Amino acid sequence: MSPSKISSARAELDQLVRRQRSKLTAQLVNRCGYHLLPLIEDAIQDAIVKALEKWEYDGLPDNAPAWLYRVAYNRANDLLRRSAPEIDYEVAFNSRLSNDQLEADEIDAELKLLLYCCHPELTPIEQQILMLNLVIGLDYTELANLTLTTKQAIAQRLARLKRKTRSSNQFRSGQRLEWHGESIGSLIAAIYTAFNLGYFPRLGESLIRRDVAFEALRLGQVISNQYSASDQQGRLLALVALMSFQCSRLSARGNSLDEPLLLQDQNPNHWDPHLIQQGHQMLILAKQSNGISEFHVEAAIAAIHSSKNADTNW
Amino acid sequence: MSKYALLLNHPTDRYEDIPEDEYMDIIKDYVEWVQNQVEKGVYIGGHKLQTSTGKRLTKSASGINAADAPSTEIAEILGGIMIIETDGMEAAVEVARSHLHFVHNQSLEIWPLDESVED
Repeated sequence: MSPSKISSARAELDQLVRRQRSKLTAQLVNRCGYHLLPLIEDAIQDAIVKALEKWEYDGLPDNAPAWLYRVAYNRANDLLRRSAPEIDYEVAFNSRLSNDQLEADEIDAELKLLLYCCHPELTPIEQQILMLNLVIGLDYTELANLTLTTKQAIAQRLARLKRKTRSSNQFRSGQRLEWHGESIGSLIAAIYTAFNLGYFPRLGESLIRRDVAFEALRLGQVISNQYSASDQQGRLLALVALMSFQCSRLSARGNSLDEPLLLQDQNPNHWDPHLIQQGHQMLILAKQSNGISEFHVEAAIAAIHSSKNADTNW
Repeated sequence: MSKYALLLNHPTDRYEDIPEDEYMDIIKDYVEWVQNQVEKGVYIGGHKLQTSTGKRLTKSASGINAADAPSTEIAEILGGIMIIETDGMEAAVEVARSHLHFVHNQSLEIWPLDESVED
């Protein structure tokens, strides 16, 4: 008998690594500068491997996300000090911030990384590939499967994209974010793509990549919380509403054999009521903004599908 | 309940020159298995061995000589040790059968710990 993989535990571990990698990348490039992105990615990769090698025999520690973040952060910091001595580490790493400031710093770093991925010199497809790699955390294999190319080709393409954007003045360390409608539009497109990839069968072994879909929802929420004064606000809120409704039904969309279940065959008791409620709240806010977008329409349809008692008017 | 040592063997060159993402994938399998056994109350602990920087000591007429290990003549080496606790050897074998070590390697050994001498 050969051993079989237990997908839920593995999915949680993958999600943990993906999330911490993205968070660390955002923090370190924000502090040290985007010109060091390749070096920072190498340092983080090395740090995560070392952390996993410890868990390989010890098991997961209590509060694994915080543990992984701290260990990887310290190791990446050590490696960077050796490889990039030009950085003023006292300034970059030793700032004494309160918890509130740290949280704001973290959000700012993540938003900046998102904006970096939507660099105006990149095409929409390039923006999406960069975001899927840096923010969502898809690896070369997953991206190669998505783009119907090879790992080597995707690695070369990403290296090219990072070179292309490295010298941009907008992403010097410590510089404040400059938001504009075009970049928000790119972010919305990239997040919607990422969300749809959660349902893309070539992305993994399971029917639905819940981690990818939920990460897209989280990013949408982060941006909508931070950025409210824009003609894109209505679209953004409608997108968050749509993703909330769709995510609410993810647990019910497959049977025990991981085969897809149509809406009428799903058990509504497995739908998440909190996400459905959030979807309704977001949709109300979205309707208060100017204009109607494609996401308003899709979210309104999804709202009807999320009603347990509804006889859906197909 | 008795404790058993799982000796995880692998070919000497198993982890040389493999792509990093493949290596990470393998480690994640081990983490997953260990975590599942921790949650079942079966896993006690373990340790990975550094398999590239060991020494092999041999006794000869001139004394005890230390040489770098592993040597090229050895096909398989011990990569790590894990301790589990089960209700007998049969149960230990069943636990070991599920080890994701077998996704990537061919063999492991199970040895009962000698617990006859108490502190």
